[in-house]
Amino acid sequence: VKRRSFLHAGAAATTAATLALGDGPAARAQTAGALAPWPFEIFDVHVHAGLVWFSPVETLIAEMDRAGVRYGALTQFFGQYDNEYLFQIVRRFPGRFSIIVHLDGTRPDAPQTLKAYADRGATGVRLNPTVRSPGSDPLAIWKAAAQYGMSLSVLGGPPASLATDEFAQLIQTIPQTPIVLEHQAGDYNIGESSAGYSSDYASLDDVKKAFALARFPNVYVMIGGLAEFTKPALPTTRPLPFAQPISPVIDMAYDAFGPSRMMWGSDFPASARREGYVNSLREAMDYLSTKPVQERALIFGGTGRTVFPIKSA
Amino acid sequence: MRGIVDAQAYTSDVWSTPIESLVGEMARAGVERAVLVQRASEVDNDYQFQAVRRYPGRFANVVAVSYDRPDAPATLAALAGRGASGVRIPASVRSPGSDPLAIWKAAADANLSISCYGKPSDFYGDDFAQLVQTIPHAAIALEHAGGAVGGNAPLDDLKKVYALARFPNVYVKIGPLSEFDRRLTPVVEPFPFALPVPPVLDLVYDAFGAHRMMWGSGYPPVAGMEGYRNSLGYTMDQLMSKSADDRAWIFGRTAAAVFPVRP
Repeated sequence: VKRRSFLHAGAAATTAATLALGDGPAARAQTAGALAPWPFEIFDVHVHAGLVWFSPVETLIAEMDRAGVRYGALTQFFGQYDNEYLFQIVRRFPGRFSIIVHLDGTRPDAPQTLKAYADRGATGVRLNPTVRSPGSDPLAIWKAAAQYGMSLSVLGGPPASLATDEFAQLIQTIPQTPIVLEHQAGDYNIGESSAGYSSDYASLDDVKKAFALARFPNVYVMIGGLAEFTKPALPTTRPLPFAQPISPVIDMAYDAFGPSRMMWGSDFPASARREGYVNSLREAMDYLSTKPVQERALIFGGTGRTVFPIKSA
Repeated sequence: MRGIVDAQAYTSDVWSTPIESLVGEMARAGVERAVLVQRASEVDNDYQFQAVRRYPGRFANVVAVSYDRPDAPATLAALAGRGASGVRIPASVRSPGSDPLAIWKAAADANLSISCYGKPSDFYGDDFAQLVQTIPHAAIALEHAGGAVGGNAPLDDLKKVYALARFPNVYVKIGPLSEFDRRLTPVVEPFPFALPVPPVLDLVYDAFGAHRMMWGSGYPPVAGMEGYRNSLGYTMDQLMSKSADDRAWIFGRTAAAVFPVRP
């Protein structure tokens, strides 16, 4: 595992806006508000919107616009089986979002429900890796996703929960279907509550075991902002608000999957409990600034857009 | 409803969301002003002062300092001179040196209101009651309904906290329902929380009354829960049986009085 001083790398790769304005408080205010245009198109593979929970799409779009992000995959949040709002959003903002639906995969009619969503333009489905269908084929819902040309967005527990023989067998059952391991394969801290910080970070050994799923060519990994897997500094530090050293999880993902199987997602609005939308993008972008621009274009756009293509609703 | 003031919002240049995000959420929810409360792990108040200057008349400024430093009272006095309206102090903080209450007295001397967070047990002991009486003219607002966080409502402990209503300088901030109730899974619409909602809001109202009660969104952490708009809407719905005048205090006037927007 490569370790390096992220502070150094980040300082060398500070965004053009900061360079132009210097590094004083005014520059911080400017860059916190809006980012300069990126050298490639950005596709955010993991955004949420909702009416009774999280925020309506207007909130999301304001954040995306400030961050210079045009496209994204609306990912239904766990427990919300009603996906109608996501389809409404796609109708209101055509060409901007793809849809990753969520449903109760344990219902007998889940495969038919999924087909109906696929027919309406959903490009992915979000499942917990332990979900099994009732009836004769426990993998019926997974095979249905494959049959209807949908990609899978997967989040279970911590990384160790993915590093199982059972999940490896499932993956091989649908070898043509992209399976995206969300949130660094589960190395995911939910962030700041009003009481303080949640403190569950996975061990790097467990992350490595989960990333070994990269041996299957249909497995991808989603990375988020650094705060998903790195502890904040207390008190807050600048320019990077993290305790050193930065956890090398992004390097590990890159080494295991490579840029064509790696995709960035903001996790907004959940990420507002951590570093927020703009910082989530800027920090991940700075961290990977030494990679060739073609690779960054894949990680921050091309890979996600290929796996979760935008369709007309 | 006009005149809504959000008594508990956060912003940062390097963490959570910039001030533009909050301004957008306030506009969409019809909230006129907000109290910017410094993040718990932050002691650099520059960005918050910038935000206040950029949106004149919109924000009150509740700062924080390094409480373990001997010069914290002097730093706080200087921040008050720059226009802070309040200071955020954890309930358990005591100053180094000869006077453990030095920072609390410095806040009172500088005419700053105190936004105070802690566990219920930090509030309901004799120690905190004595502290409150030491600075009888300083408003002390207990955040998160006195320690209702994480979707739990420790009602017995909270009732003990609310006995602090006997001191007229104690106020309570009420926040989003997600602080003391949990979302059902699968999601239930239009109201996603478990029923019955724990009676935290009624307990606060009965003890303190509307004039010592103020709603705060808890944004941006609440963005990862019911969101800004629902933080206001769900909480207001819970209080619809109160008079319009009471609601005007809870959702605006109390916060405006305790944490005034200063030039």
